[in-house]
Amino acid sequence: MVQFVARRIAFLIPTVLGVAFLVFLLLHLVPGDPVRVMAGADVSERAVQELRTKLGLNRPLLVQFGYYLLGLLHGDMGTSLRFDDTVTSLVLARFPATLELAAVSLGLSLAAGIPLGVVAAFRVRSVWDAACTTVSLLGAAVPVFWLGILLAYLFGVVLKWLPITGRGGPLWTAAGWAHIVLPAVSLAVTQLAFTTRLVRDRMVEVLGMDYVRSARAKGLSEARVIYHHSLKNAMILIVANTGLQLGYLLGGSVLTETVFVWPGMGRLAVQAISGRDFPVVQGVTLAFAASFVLINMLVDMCYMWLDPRLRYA
Amino acid sequence: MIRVIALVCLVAVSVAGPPVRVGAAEPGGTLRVALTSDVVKLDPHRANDCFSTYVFDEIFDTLVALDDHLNFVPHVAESWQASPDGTVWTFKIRKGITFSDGSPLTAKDVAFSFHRILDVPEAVSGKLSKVNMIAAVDLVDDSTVRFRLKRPYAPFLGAARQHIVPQAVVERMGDEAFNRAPVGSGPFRLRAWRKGEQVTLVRNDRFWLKKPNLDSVVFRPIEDGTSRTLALLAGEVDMVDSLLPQMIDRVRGGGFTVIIKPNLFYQYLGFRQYAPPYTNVKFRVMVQQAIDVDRLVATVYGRGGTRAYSPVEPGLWPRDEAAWKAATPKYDPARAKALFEELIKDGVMTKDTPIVVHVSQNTDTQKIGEIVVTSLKQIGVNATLKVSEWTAFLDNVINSKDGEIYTLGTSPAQPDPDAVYAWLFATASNNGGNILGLKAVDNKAVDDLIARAAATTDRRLREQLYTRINETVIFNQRYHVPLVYPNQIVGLSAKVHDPVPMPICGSWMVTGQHNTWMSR
Repeated sequence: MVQFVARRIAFLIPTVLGVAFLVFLLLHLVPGDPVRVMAGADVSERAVQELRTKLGLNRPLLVQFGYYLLGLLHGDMGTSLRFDDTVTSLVLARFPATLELAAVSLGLSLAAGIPLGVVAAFRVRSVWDAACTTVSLLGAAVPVFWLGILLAYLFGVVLKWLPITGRGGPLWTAAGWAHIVLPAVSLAVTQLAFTTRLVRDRMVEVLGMDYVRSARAKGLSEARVIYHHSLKNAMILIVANTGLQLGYLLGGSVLTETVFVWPGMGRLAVQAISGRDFPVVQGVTLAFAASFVLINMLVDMCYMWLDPRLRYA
Repeated sequence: MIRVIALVCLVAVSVAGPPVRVGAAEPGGTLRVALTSDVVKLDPHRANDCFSTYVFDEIFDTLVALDDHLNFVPHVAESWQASPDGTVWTFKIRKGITFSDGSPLTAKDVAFSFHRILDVPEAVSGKLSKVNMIAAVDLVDDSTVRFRLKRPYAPFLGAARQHIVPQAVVERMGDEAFNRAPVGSGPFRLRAWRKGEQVTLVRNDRFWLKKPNLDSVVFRPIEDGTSRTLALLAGEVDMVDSLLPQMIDRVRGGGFTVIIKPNLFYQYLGFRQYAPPYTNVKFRVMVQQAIDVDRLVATVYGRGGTRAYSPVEPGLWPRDEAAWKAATPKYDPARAKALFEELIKDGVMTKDTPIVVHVSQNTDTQKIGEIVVTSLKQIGVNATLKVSEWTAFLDNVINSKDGEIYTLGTSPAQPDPDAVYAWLFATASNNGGNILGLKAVDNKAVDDLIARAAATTDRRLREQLYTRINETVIFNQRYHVPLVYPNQIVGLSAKVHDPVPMPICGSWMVTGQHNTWMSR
């Protein structure tokens, strides 16, 4: 186990390095002169040169990358061009909000998706199956920003039940929960389909296995067959999928965060892109990539915990 | 007892007539404002963007201010005087102004504030180009500051409209800390700032001009136009800096106030005059007559824009809308087609000469580009649309040497015609229209006129000169096809009274004429 984890961490380093290089190239792949764009159209050529020197963009590419890496090792992702703050502090300030939203919406989509999938699998090719599949597919087909705006209009403007902008505070407060409901639900709905389909298909497969037949033959209750024998076995794939979903949710909540004015990393990315704040764009991309890689590693470790066979592979 | 009297008064008012609204301002309350973009910096000498200006305009006072009609009025300076040749400007500083920390504002702080812009590299301040006509700032005495200019500059009051910071505080804190915790003499002071999320200001009880009605003001960025509107409708904000034009009726129907005001912003078609046919006046007239500009404005902007006939926005001077309208060639595709044939006969272009319409990637500009290309094709011109991402567009503008038709929008740096004409039409002015390689103009005579108009303080003479410049660049040479002044569409809850939506960047809630308040 220790060896496995060590090996995974060793793999992590080149992956993150590769991502860092790609992210670094971002600035240099931008068409046109990014420094001119940052400086704005109404400043003189001299000011543009000053800024270029200040940013160190007049040095050779590899030297720049070297400095960038050196900074990264110290946890320094550069300084925002617009705010006076470091990129690290901006990203860290926004990360909890994104994580919170991703976790709550993932929880919602699992809480709804697993039962739906189990019902569909248990009554396969029935009306229940069709209903569960339709509901979940509808969720996947609806554009997330459209759903978000619709929910905001209904619950915020018409019914006035829930707040529609911003984060209310930590999750142990009522305001915190009230604010997170709508963005979390609209994110969860899009994730629901994946979970439902996956649970359903996997359960259909498992329910057809010999050991399930044996369990039933032994006279075990149907509930015990489903929860103890089938669902647990189906869980391995679901865990893997959940890890991937969390990764997508962390990076993919850009639209939801924008619609609900959620102070997370997705909105930070949008603000940085529209403000042409390249260091922040780099930093957010790197943070997204790193968390994705990290989550994948954790998923792999969960795998081994769930499936002892893998430990000896 | 007081409450009883107030109640009696209220009853008396409501009995007297149907409009129950009490006219007097009610002090107190929090105004929540949604801005289109986030507040970047609160140090007025280090930030240059519109949305930061909205906030630090409330924290700091400027040396001179603007009234509702964009006239310069005394503020921190109670009076000023220009030398007859327009090169020396002396400002008398008002006594009795204190910063929110209690220290007095003196001429020293004024001089220091200008030095904070003048003495740093341009990239740090971003405001140097607005004050770089200043040769020296002299501290005459505790209440007098004298500016010596490099050249006579009539619109200097626009340049002098800079924010005043306390020298002692800035020097003690350093630039970075001052940006995080700014201290000014304006109607409000900073309470809390969560970057990218929210800025909270509270009333500055030491404000010298009058007591602000509002207890506090909260600014929040809401980037998405629909979310902004929903936030207003849901009552989560009381004021929205810009609404989408298609939302106007929905917002009004909900009992909210919508103010539509022309902004100091001008969108136009220009010609990069690197090669024929772009260098040819007849060609430019042909383009103008081929396009139905009224329909273009209606299609692309709807109520979000007003048709433009000249670069001088409403609110600025000199304007003569009727004369401009009369001098603008009408939409006439038949006449445009005839001009096209004349150009072919003259050998300026052929039937197949490719005409490029280059726009940056943006919903409005792309629509403009499509309409222009379609209009040109309808008269037989071989026109193509080229859409570039803004960075690439700018790069092309600076580096390419190709003739093109382009569309750009611009906002004058200060409410003075010099800021309009020098920026757009002077060949070599510091921030002139040609420095970017647009080559929109190639006219020495225009340069001379612009320089002469900036050098004289005689308003009548300046008006005459700008009228002449306008005739030359728009009606004789047709360097531009003026398109539209986009409107500012402000949404307000019915609780907000006496707001001051100005057509330039910035928000003034407490001015000489106004004091925004909220009813309960």
